[in-house]
Amino acid sequence: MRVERELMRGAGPVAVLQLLASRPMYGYELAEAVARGTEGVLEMGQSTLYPLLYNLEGKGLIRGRWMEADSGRRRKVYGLTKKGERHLVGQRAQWRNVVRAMASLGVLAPEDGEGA
Amino acid sequence: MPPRGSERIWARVRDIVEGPGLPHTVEKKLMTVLRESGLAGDPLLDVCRELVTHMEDGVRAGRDSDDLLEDLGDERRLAGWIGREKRLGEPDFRDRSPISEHRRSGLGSLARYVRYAFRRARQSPGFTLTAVASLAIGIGANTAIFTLVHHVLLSTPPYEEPERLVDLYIDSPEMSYMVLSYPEVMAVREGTTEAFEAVAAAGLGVAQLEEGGQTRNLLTELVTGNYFVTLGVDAHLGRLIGEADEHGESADPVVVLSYGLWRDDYGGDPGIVGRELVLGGRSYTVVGVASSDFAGSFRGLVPDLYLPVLLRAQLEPGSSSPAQEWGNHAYFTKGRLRPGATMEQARVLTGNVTAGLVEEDRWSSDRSLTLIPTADVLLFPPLDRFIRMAAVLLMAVVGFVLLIACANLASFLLARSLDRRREIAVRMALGASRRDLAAQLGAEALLLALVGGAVGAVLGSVVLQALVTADLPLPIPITLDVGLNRAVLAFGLIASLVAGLLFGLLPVLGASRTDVASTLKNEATGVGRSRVLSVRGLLLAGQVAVSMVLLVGAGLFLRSFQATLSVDPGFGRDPAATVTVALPAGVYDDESARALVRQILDDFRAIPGVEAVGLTTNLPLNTLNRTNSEVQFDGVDPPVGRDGFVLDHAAITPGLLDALGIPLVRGREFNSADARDSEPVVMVNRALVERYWPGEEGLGRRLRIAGRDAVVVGITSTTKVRSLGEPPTPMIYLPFEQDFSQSFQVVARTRGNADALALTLLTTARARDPLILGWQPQSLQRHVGVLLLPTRLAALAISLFAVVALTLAGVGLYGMVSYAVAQRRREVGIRISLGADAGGVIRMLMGTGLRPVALGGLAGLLLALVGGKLLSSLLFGVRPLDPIAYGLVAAVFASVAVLAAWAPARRASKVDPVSALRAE
Repeated sequence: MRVERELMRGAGPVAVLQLLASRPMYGYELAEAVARGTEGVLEMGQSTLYPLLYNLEGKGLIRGRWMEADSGRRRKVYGLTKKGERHLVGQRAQWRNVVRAMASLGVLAPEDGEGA
Repeated sequence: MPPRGSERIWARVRDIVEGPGLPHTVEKKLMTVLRESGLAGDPLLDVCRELVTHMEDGVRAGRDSDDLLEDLGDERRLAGWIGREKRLGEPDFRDRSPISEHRRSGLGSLARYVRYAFRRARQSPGFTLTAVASLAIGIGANTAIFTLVHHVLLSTPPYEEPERLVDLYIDSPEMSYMVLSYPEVMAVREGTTEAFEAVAAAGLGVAQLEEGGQTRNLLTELVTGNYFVTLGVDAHLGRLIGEADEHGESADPVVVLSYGLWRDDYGGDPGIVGRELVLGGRSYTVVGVASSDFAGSFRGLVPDLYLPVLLRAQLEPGSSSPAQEWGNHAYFTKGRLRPGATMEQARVLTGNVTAGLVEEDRWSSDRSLTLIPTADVLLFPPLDRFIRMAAVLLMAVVGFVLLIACANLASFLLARSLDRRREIAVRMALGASRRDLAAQLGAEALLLALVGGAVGAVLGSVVLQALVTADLPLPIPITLDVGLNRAVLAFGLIASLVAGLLFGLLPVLGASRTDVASTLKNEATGVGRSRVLSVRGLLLAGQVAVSMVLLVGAGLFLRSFQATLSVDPGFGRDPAATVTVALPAGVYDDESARALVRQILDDFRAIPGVEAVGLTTNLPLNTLNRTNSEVQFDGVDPPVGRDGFVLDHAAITPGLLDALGIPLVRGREFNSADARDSEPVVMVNRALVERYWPGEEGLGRRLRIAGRDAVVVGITSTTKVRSLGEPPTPMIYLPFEQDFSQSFQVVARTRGNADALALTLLTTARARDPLILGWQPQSLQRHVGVLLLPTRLAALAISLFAVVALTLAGVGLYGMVSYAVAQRRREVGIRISLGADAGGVIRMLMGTGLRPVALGGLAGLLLALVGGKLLSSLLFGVRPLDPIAYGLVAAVFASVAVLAAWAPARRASKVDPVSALRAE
């Protein structure tokens, strides 16, 4: 099901921040985790992911550092900054409110024949 | 747009992009993104590294270039976004990957796995081609050869209730399984009606069809009226020959076409029934076409025509009516037991028949009838043991080569699985389910197996057609109508599927969480061996061992064939032409026939290039005609219960011995004085003298043959009479004028082209009478070649298999060494950079591959030594432990092995140490 652009603009950054709150990740890892964690609903290619990361980084919500893995390969690993953590808290509160509001309107109830 | 920043930065960017060996399209797109981003300096390098790393991760995860390119999306737009974001701005991103429901459904996943499998196959064309080719050769070539064997030897004829059919033979001192003469068939029929509801017989013959001004020889089955009914065979069109066609000692001139002849030569014309065919100058009416699945009584020999046996005399001049020919043992006889009747009852009754024939003085008391269930007979009882052994041998060989093909596939898949261990570990760490991975790998293995099987089926058809249409030097035309044996094809395919799935799925089946972590930590530095490599080594050793066994078998058979070539038949050292000639039946009386033959012989002598020419009624090693009689010797007692010795003889003209190159040892040859009414004389060969008059010269001795007392006037050297492997066999020659026949064989010695001369002989004879019949104009060499056929075929078949096995093993070895080399690229780079010379590196790498080869070769040789003993009964003139055969095989194999190992090793030694060290 294709998620509309406007919805993605709100969901994408929050999803990334939420994942990075659990642990630091590098780009590919992050993309895989988003897809897996949302069961494919949010899928980010490079064309989505890196502009997003650079945006968040530019805002100081995340920081990227080049690190060497055990294998010897170098990757840029991103982690949440203190500012990012606070931003995430706020975003999560907003999402809870929106979801509750939509639920009370019946937006979240499944259609006839649709899976939950 | 020209790149910004210094040339040095862009040079580094290019290095970073091109370093990991990404697909070219991906590299190109990345470069465009970076150029268009407007970035420079460190931010440019930063983004470059990050995007490239992302791509590498994608490639390791098994994503292909199409996928990755789609991921990047529109390069200019991405460049713009990245450029903007790196300078901080509002993100404007879109989800470029369609999130679709079907990704999660089973069927959609299946399609994805298959598409992915195709892409993977396209990505590594070398691997795919080798794997598919291995399978195709293994499955295809083997199916073809096995199909031929199966069709010729093992298939069951389409008889009705075959368990009630019984083959009958005569057991006599001369031959354990002699077929019956027509009068003997009738005697059996009359005496066994309580046990057999029908007794039928069929013999082989050749009929000369005249059509459109051309003549050609067709293989014919001459059958009794109840033949088809007894076998339970139906007509495809019209009717078959029946008892109503027989009248006393003659029959109506009717003919039945085989299905193959009707389809190929008459276009399947439904109006064929009622047409007239001219055979041997006489007219016959086509009454029907045999069914498509009936191919006569003789395996491998499909007759073109079926004719009533009682018409034999008019089809083959020189022969009399079968009803009178007690001595012409030419008819394969079958009886159909009555429902409820047993073999025992039949045996009792045939015993009575035998007693009756002995009492009538038709048979000597040492003859009896033998009964064998038809289902137990493959081709002909004396040959069956040989055929069964050959069939078992061939099936074993087929099985071996298929095994090798599967081992190859398994080996390749195993190698690839090692490459992907890390990829699989990473994907599992990222949460991919084992089921997903198994499905993906399974799809790849299945694809290879199916494509290999399909190509194999096509290859098999082609090979089969080639074998079936091969020019075999046979005295009678043979047609085979074969399609690939589906059972074997299916077996080969299933075997390769099983092998593929087993080895393709190995990495997934073995992976666990611990393995994943340790695998991720121990990312390939490219050094060291794993347990799995030795499995490959074992597979290779096994392939080598089997190939070795096949090669030794091929070597022994080839040597055997060589030995048969060097057997001296005792005649025909110089080129000579031969043709069988017969005067048209019922046209010439004795006087005029003799005069005509004398004229024709003079004509033959006048042909340019003819150095010597003669006629004979029994050419040596003549597979179709056996002329023998009972002979009594002066002063030598015949065997107990018999009136004389059954010996081969021939009526010959002066000049025949010269033409055949048979030297006269003592006495004189026949001449014009040995006419019809002069004193009966004979020549005999040395073998006869040594057997019956040992220690004597033989000249002047008397013997009684064909009702006449004759004196021996000449002794010839001994030639082979019936087969190349026989011991010295007695032979008697009579003067042609004293044992005249209207059909005979011509032999003409020449220095020129013998095959051409043979045709000239025929046309020369026809110049005197256009209705003169002729058979098999050919060189004498070709005539002798017929007997070499079984050995030649065996040698050819086994050699083909051996070559296939060797090719597969060589490919397997090449693959293994290539893989080992690729794994150790880093190590090679280190060694070379530390100053190791190329030769040393090559030897080191070759050692990896050649170790299992050496082990396998040794095991193979030992197996061959044991197996060779089992082959001894199939070999001619060569010992199972023939040192030349073994030596040759070892040399051939060693050469192939060294070459297969050297090629990739040499390539590796040329690797650039810097790139080898840098690469992962």
